[in-house]
Amino acid sequence: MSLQTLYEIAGRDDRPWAATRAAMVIAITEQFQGGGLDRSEYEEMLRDLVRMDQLDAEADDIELKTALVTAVYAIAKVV
Amino acid sequence: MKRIFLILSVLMLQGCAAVALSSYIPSFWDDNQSAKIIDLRLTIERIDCKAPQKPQVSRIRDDLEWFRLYSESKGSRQQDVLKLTQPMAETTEDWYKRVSAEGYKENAIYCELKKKVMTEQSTRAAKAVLGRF
Repeated sequence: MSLQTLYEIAGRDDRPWAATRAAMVIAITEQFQGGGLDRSEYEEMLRDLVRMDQLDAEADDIELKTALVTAVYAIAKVV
Repeated sequence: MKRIFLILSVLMLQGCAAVALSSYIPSFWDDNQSAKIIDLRLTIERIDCKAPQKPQVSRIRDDLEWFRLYSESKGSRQQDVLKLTQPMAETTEDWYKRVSAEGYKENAIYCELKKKVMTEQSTRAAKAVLGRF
């Protein structure tokens, strides 16, 4: 994926989470290219972005389970 | 004999149902976990990249360790919040190892980017932890 594609994603309003993530990749890559980060720092930051996806997935899981249990309680009260 | 077999079958089926059902039930609200995850957010928000990084990262590391130990001690139902905070612990551990290395020269740009990533992580984690009932 080129930086241009990332800029396009960062500018999108319909997917705020993707725009935020793309903006982060751009900031990290620009700092690496400009000498603000060395290679090991750059690679570590990219690993952190992968970890953010893992955290997002776990958070989504908890929220979905909470919504399901809440729905079951609500139905149980009606029945 | 048939009756015993029938009772055993029903009990075993209930056991399977309980195991299957437990994977759909999240951990419940906990005052201490909720307070600690907000403490973490506050500590991350207040990271000052012009000041020495090691004591600041060490504090985040300790808070995450507290959260892990508390959740583990609370029981197996807490697996979801343990998995949730694991990526944050890894991000922090990498940072701590780097700033603890002998001769490390602090890089404010690296610190600011790390702060940004951890702010996102802690915001998302806090929303999930506080969203439970």
